[in-house]
Amino acid sequence: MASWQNNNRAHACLWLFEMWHHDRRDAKFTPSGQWSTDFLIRSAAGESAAMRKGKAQTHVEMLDGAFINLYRAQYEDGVDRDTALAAMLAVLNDRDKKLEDLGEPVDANYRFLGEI
Amino acid sequence: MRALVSGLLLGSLGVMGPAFSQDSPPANPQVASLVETFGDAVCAGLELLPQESCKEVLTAATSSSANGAFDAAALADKLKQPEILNSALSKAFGGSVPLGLEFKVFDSGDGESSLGVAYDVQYDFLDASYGEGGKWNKRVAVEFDATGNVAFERTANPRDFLDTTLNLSASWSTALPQQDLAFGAKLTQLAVDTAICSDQEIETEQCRKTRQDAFAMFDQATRFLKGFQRYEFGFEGGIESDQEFDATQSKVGTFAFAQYDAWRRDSLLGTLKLFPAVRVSVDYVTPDDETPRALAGDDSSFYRFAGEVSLWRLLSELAGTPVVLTANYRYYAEIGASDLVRDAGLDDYGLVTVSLSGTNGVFVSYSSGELPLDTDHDNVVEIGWKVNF
Repeated sequence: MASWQNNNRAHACLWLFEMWHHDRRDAKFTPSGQWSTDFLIRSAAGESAAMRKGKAQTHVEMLDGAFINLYRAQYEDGVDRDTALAAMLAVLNDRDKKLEDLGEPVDANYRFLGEI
Repeated sequence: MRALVSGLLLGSLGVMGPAFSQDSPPANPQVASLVETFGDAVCAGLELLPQESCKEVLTAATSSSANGAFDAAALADKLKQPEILNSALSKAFGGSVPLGLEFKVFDSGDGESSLGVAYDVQYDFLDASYGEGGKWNKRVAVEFDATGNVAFERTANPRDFLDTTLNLSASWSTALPQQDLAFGAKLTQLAVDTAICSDQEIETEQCRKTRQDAFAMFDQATRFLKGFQRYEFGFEGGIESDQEFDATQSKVGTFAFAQYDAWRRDSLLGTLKLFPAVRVSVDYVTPDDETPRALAGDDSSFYRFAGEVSLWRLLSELAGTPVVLTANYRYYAEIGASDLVRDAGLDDYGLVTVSLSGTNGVFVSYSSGELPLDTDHDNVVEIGWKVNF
């Protein structure tokens, strides 16, 4: 069970970017944790596995750009861009996962400013 | 009890034979009360099962005992739930299930559901970013990918074919402009403040301002970008199979993928709030003797064009849930098909799917057409809870 916390910097930063990216500007933090990966990557019903995989890759590259270049987060020790992307991709490639599940690899692989 | 449930699970996986009568006793009103009273204590010691699944099995077992006979049908039903089977599978392999095997429930589209299995094997021989800085993030990858969903009931199989590929690709995606540390610190703090504020019953004026300030910072940082783009080109080879693994064909070819997510309203796609993605490929296909084309009398290899267009649009909000309209079209055409293949109607295939869905899974969808290796599906309208394939 994912621990989706509004006072967790990684979770809050992920949520705020997804909310802005999806133009859900009135969304609340806690229920947004249930957003499906299909919704996050803009998956369409009936699309091929290759199409879905391509969209998931697009989304993790966008998230990495937002974390590193906008939030100015850093990778945790022993983590680089490729491993961080792979960890997020593993969640987004699973249609049963939610935004709160994505919070786990984001928290584990990125150190946001002000994090202890 | 632990031994009983473990035995039932092993039996359901074929390790033990059934040991229960086929009689289904009537529901006992005392069962719910018993399970309510003792369920937590019993299930706490059964780490093999998820809590809710454990209570369902306990209900079925208690119900059977209360009537003097095991309710085999109810027990079998409960044991065939993906949560229970996946839990047993995970336990059997120490949490690392080979081939990414996972039990799932498949919706056949006529209101019936069927148990099935999903597999997912992905291995990156190479996945590396390079040339950081500038307008694009660049990446090269060599990946093996085998993903599929197979229902135990043939009619419940998803409308797709099984695809196993090895591909070599290069891709380019938009590099977001790097902001200074002060910007990053302020945006990070606004994210936390906005998240905490958003969960309050009534949003205060200060909270509203915090939220608006955060969005303004994103708008400002991306003002020189119209959206996020990613392009990928590569070569791939692999095997396509129907859902029963009867008909297979190998392929080798080249592909291209493009996706554009508009962030601003000053473009056509941004104004329409339409998010497109496109994938095209040209493959050299070698069919086996069981493919529809070979059965029609032509088992020669051929070149094939494949194209796929996906559109996604957020419509509105219904009871707090975003409603999304999606459309997807897949098209496959044999290049230079023989008269025999053309006359048999096996030279091109198309499948269009339109859906309305929300983040909680409610959906309505319509599919029409066929895919290669799958010529027996009708047009289907599905209404209900979405089952992910």
